[in-house]
Amino acid sequence: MSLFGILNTGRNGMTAASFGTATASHNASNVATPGFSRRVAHIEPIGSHGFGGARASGADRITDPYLERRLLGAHSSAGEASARATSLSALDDIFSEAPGNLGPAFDDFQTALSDLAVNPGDTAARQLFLSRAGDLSRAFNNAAAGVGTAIEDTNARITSEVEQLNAKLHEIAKLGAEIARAETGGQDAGDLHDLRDQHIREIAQSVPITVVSDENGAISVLLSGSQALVSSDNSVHELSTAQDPATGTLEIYRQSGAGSTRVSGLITGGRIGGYIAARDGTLSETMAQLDALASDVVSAYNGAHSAGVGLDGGSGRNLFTPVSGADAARQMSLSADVAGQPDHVAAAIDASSLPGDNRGALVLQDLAATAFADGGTKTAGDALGSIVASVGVAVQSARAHESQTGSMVSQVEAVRESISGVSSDEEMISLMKFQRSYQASLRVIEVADQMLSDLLNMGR
Amino acid sequence: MRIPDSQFYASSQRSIARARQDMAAAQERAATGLRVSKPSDDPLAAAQARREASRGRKASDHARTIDFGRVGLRAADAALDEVSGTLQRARELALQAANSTVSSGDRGSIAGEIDSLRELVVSLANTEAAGRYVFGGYRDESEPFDQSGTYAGTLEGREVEVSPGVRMPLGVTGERIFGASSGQDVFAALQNLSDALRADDLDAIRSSVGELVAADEQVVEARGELGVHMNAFEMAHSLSQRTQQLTQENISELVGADPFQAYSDLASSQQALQAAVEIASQLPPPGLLGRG
Repeated sequence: MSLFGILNTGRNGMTAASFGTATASHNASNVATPGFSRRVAHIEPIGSHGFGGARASGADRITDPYLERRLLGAHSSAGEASARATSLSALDDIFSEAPGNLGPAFDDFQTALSDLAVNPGDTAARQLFLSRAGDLSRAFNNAAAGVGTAIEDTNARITSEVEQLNAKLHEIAKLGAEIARAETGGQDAGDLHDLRDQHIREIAQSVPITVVSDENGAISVLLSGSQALVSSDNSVHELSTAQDPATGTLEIYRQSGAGSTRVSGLITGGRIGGYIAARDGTLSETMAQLDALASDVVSAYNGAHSAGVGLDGGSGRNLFTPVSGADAARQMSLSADVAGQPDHVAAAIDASSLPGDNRGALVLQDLAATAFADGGTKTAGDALGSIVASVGVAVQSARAHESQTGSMVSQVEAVRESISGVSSDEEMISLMKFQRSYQASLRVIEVADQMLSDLLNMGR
Repeated sequence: MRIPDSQFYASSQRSIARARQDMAAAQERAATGLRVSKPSDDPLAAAQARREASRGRKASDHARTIDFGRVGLRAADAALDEVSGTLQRARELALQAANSTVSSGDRGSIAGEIDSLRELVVSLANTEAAGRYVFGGYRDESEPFDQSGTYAGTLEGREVEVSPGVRMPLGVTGERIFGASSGQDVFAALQNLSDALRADDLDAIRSSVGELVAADEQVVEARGELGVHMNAFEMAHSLSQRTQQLTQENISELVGADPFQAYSDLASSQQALQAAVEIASQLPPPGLLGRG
């Protein structure tokens, strides 16, 4: 080995140490970067022809592909639960015991009815009864509007989730192409990998996905394990939203070739899955229950009221505007037969016994204890009670699921971080180590240089 | 296990977030006194509390109804008491006038007194309480009896619900107390006496004494009926008060927060938050970088 060779060894050592320092610095600067995977400088001896020193062959990216897969699943579950909880949280206020809500409105209505039965001839009692009946209609209107708004909000959230998802899909495809280009050219693409993984984790929060990589390292992102959103050739299949013309429901479609296929049914996880589940589950069911209760109330009270007689001797009048089917709760209102006309309240049943005849009011009063709701199986109060219970259970379980899946994500995230995350202490030690290595190589050059000059000065 | 820097911050962040959530919830429980303020806080309790609230409200509706009804019943009872006394006075006068030693002039003045007693009974039969004529049945907005004692009210009267599923009449209708349909027309008995007095007809005076006795019995019987109703109202009233109290207790048990529990929860959640913040203030952890 020549002295020039030793100089070269020193130079190689300095280069390798610089690389190591650069790697540690990169790690240290990314200590707070979300999704960053630490690098370990890969340094090996150069020993093919004698001693050649050390060389940095690259930086290993420390990740655990198995954990990454688990993390995607955890993100989908957590996204689903948190979206469901967000969508359903509005229901809690709609069915609380706050004044003006359905429960208290029903009670107020009954009190007015009881007062009317005591004072059937009293105009003030009649006016109060009409105003309470109007309040009851409005309580139904407000509850239905609240649930309707929750459904509309959920649809808006789905639409915006889909837009963001599409943007990320293009980002992933673009990064895939860049990674392929860099790696073919022998460049380090670790940061691009980190960025792509981060985007993938983000879309896993929106929809359930699996990631499959082929032998060349190209990946495809599959929706629900079957529908490619990003293919291995980095082409993108966007999702889109459109109303189903038959049902009016906002559905999700996946673009494929010239056409598109509906995939809403496949999306059972992620925030979009949670929104769909909340909308088509509890929200729609609650709306249907409200509509059913409203039309039962309207038809029961109208039936009794139209059989009764007003203070003016007239009969056959409705208390509420007849409504039925979908939108009954939203459309419920005081009938024009009685609105603003307290004399038309049918508190009597016999025109010859006016004004003190309260038998009509008694019939109306008895309806509270009559099982006319839910196909004749429940009283209105019980029907409302079961709506309150089912809404409560749905919101409660969504919240419980949200916190449970949230801690699941934190756990997996913690394990991932323990493998891939940066420890500043480790990096400080690496920096010192490579600094030492650099100093040592510098010393080698100094010594070799000294030896060379000693050699050149030998003849003087 | 490696502990990367992010771990310290993430776990600190999580424990502060959790402690803040707990504290907000504890604060709300302590401030509102409610453990359940929304259905999701405890769905079963919320649904039961809804039913209890309706039950309690119904009981308080019944109490209102009973309060109103009692006013009429008491007025009716007091009026009938007076009617009874008036009829007895008339009977005494009749017995006095039946004595053959009484001059016809005196009988004439007794007849005048009987006429005014009759007017008194008519006005008692038209007793009004809380804006309604208590003996008018359904037609209770105007006087049920005219001066001749003709009844304009209805034969049936109003019933109201005083307990769940239990209806009680608000009174006894005038025709059944004063009218001929129950056997003796009270006004006719007095009129007959007055006519007999003016006619100096001793036999007729004596027979009208029998009519007055029958009339009084009729009134006393009606009072007995009112008494039964009043008792039923009293019982219904105490039932309604018990129900109101019971539902109130049930509701506070179902949705109320135990104040001691609420405040101790608040205190412990405050401590938890304080500890979490204290720990966070120790960040970053000691290391080669020093404490910045």
